[in-house]
Amino acid sequence: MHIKDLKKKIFVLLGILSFFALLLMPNPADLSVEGQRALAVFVLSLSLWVTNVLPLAITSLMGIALIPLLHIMSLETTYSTFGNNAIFFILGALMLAASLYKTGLGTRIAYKLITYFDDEPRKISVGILLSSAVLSFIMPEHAVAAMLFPIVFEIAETLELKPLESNFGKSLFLSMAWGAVIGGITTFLGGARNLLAVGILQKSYGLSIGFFEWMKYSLPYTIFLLIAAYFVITRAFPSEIETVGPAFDKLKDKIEKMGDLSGNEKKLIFVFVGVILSWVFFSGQVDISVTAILGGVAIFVLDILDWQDIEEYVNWGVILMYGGAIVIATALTDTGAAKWIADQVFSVIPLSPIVFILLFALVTKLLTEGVSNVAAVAIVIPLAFSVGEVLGFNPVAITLLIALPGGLAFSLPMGAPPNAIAFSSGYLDLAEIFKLGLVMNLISIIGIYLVSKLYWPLVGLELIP
Amino acid sequence: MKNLKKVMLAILSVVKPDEAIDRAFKLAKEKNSKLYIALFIKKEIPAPLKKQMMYSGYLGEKIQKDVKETIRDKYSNRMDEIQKKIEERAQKEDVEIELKIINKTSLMKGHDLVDKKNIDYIVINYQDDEYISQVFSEFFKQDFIEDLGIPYELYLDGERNEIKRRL
Repeated sequence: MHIKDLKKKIFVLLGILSFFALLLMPNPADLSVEGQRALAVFVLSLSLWVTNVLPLAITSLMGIALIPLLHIMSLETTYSTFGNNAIFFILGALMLAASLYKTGLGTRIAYKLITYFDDEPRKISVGILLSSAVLSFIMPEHAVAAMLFPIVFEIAETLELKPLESNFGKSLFLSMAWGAVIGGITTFLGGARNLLAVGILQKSYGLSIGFFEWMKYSLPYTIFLLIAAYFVITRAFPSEIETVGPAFDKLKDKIEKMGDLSGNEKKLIFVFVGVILSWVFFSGQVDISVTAILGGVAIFVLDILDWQDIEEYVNWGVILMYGGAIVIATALTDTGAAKWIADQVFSVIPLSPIVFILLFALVTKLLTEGVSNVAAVAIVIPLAFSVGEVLGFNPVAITLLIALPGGLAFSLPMGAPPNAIAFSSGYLDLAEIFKLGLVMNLISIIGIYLVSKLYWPLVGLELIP
Repeated sequence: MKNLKKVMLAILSVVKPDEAIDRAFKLAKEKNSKLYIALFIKKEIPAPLKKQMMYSGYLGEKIQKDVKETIRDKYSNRMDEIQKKIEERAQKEDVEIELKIINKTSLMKGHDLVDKKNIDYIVINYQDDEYISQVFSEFFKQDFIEDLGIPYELYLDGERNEIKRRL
């Protein structure tokens, strides 16, 4: 048996044993029976999320089934927690993203952005980094990487860049992956884990963060990271070629062949502009999930997509994964289990606010490099809320402190699908990118600290109100 | 080294094959042997990527298909280029070659191939990055190479990594 599989099996076995041990052990005086059982479900789910032995969505479903079965929450509460507005937002957002992909509007935007700059190697790298990031503002980062993959491959092939050898080849694919990863933290559309975090915030404190508000807090961090990524990539991989002329011409040619905007693209722009304007200006009056669903409906009313397209372009497993993660996190907070863990672990460790920020950002980042970032956020956020409560932290700030670094997997292919797609090109060397990723991880932790301490208070978000 | 009847060059990874190709040609010329070229064409995308796209990335079927097709096309293009390069070189250097495109199934029967073709020396270019080359990390090392029974040279990641030789 492969050593990695063996480790996974041991981890899962430990999860199963801990599950039964937690269910059967005597109830601690300061923890409710429901809390103890919620902890058992959490540990089991954690072991399965981390190892990916079962599909993430199935682990979430298992959690949803175990919670009422073990009388942690009632059946009605469990199911109604699943059907929260974050889930309906994601549902609408996935339909919008599918239409961007299917109509070719996303690809057109990518071509335009990449060729906006000059035909110098550095500038085309910037073009890929930016187009990947900007597209990840409006569609899931995974889909952006998948969409850009053939374009970047075409550039590499046209320039006859050799896999694993060409510095420029490495910089192209890394720009694609890191651009998507960084861009994905900026809005609710790029990484639905952002909304998962807001969903847990809402369930735990009745507080929310609007679409525009999220961007207000995240955008400077995104810009900081994009600049850092540009310098890290270009320093590490100085281009061995002088011009990208042939590839640039090919891209220009592709744009010409695409012709003018199609009818469907125009209709989609209309829908998108309407939806985003509503999210930015009217989220107080109309919940963002309602607008997202109406956007999804408009796609059909305007005949941009048919249902078969949606079935082909959307993987509904994501809904189960997110819904289940919210249910499990809610069970942990509502039963007091999260607070109990926080008391046990952190009552003995004096934690200053700066250590709190760095510690949780670091833990989330480490987790997100190895497991799905949704799982990383779902695991850390309930614990961070409880510790934050003890320290008097603003839960909104905690949500951002966990969700933003939680999306930033730079080092390993298993951390984020954009990385995995980029690694599969054959251009990137795992050991080399691992080291560079560590540099970016360090920069991102320093960045979140600076943004949270210096910038957020300027826009009205105090860490400790 | 004694005379060799047939040297097999197994290109199991499209990444950095140059040094393995050079070595195989050098051996074939020095030992006046034939060169049997086995090119592995990858038909499947790396298993971890497949799992990640479906279960963690939650990409729809069509999007997954697009990524898979891109990978397959590009890897196939690279193998075509390598094949062309080898054929041109064989003609230029007057080395007799026999070329076969192999797939995962024929690779699994690698020992039969070695016996049937009277191969007495193998030069292999391979990769063990599971995101680039899904076949070899386990099967290749544990089953194929260990029981080969004839001398071989392994080129892991081409010239960049060490050459393992057993004569």
